[in-house]
Amino acid sequence: MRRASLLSALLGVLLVFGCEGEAMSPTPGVDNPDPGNPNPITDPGPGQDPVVGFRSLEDLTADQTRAYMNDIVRYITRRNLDAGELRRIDEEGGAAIRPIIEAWTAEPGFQTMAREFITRKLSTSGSRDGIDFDLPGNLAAVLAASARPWSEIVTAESCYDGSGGETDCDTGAPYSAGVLTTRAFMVGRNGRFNLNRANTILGVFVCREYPVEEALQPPLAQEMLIEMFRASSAADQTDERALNGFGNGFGCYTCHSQFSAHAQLFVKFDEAGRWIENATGIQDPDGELGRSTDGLMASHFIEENDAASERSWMFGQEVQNLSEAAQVLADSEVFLPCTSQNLIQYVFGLDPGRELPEDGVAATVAAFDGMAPSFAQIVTEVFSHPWVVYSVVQSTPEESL
Amino acid sequence: MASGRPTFRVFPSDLKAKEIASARNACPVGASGALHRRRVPLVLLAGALVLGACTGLIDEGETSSRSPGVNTPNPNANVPPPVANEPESFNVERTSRVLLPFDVRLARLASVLGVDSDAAVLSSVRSFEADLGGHDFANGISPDLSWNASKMTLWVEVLQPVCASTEMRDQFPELTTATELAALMSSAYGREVATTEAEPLATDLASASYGIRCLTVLSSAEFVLR
Repeated sequence: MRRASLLSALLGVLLVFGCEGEAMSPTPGVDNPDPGNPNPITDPGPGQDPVVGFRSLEDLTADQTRAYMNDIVRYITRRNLDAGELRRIDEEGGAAIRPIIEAWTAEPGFQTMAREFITRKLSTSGSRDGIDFDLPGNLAAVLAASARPWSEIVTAESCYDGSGGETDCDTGAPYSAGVLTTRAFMVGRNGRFNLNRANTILGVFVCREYPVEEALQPPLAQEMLIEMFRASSAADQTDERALNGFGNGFGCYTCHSQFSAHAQLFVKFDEAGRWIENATGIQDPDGELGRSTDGLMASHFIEENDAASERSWMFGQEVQNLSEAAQVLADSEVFLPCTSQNLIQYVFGLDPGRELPEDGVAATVAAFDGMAPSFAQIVTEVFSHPWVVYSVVQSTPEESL
Repeated sequence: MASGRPTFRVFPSDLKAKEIASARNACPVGASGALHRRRVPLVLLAGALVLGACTGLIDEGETSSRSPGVNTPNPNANVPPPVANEPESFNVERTSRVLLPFDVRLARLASVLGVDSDAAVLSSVRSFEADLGGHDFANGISPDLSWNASKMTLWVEVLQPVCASTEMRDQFPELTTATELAALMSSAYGREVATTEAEPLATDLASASYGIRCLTVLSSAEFVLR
């Protein structure tokens, strides 16, 4: 009987694919032969969610498996399939997928994949004005070569040089938050009110755009914000600078009630990416809207003490600075699914703005419930997951140049 | 070569008109065929496309309607239907072919030569990373994975010293017979290429030099594109 993979959202049990199918009868998703006797797994009962099922990788032919593996090998370990892998695929078909990918994660090319993955997400490589834009990629490569959790990409206390040697992250902040506390990230995502930096965190590590669901990021109170961001409509707007609906319209509060919390975390980082202890977050009276003095950006907050402080909120939790916020982000239930979606987009060349079916993406990382997996574990799980494999295999191939 | 952009010649120096004709014939109908029909007057462009757009699909007969450069069976065949409650699939829409990332192409070259990517023999390639689709975000250079005439021409140029290298000769002393060409294609493409598949190419390139045979394989779509 087939191998099968079950994600049991209802029972909270993951039946890891790779288990021998003989132990799982009937195969999930296959019509229950006895409608009078509901299967407790596939027919969980009224008011309960149906259990997600997947096809078995063992049903793939060697040709299908080879085509899939040939597509991903160049990205995951930056080389061609070797003779041994081709032979194993011929012999084992889809069953060869997981062990082969697992072996790739021990190769040097896998570190290159991690470097390129994060480099492209953050658009950071090279050097300019004395700033090492390779620091984010270096950290990714170091994490890929270790068993450390991938979430350290935003929580690591050290950065690394091109040789993998430990070095300080270069903003000068009295704390670290992995790639977030590199000048490469800060400079590359510079902008008024620190909106670009906040947007990047949300887009790259949470796969969301503002406004996000309030259950994830509760809006801050209107009274905390400077007047222009309190408006929910044109009639509400009292700040003459915003009377014409600059930016994205008149409903400022909808997005900025959330933007404000995340942008505040960057209030002490100037446009050159340096941490400035005495930053005030106060709008420069002679400067462009959203800019403070000395290359710093203005805060959303109206109270001076709030504006000057790095204290803010991340996903509803109060945090004292960017480092604490990054830890909340890394521990959140959205971090791993977003990583999976990003990986799928990267390896298969999908439009980075394209959203994938949420339940499918969630299934690829469901096995890590409560864990902090390494990059190798995530890549192995995602690219050997039947949902990913079958999605790719059944996609229509390009017929002509 | 490594110190500056290579001087563009109409064709690599060791190409003769006869060889070019052979190389052209070795390419299937496809990008290069369409080019001929449009009679693009730029010899440079034509040369680049003849060599660079050669798809690796070397049989104009039965296989010409298949995906260029991808001699693999249709992966859609015999896929079992989704099971109940299976999440909706995503589709990998590939409406156009794009270059493999620069470092992947470099690694594939290194693998063919049996060297590391930082080997001296590949310096001509590394020197033009930015022009060949690499990135340097700090200085405003994003990855450009389009496969266009200028990249094709440059790719052929930077491959010349690679194909003329002792490392290449050590790995593939001759590229005359179909068996020898199949060995190079297998190494380059990461799949087993049968001698019969290489035979038409060997025939078409019968009078071509070692260099043009090497360039034909290493600039084919199957080698550089996904």
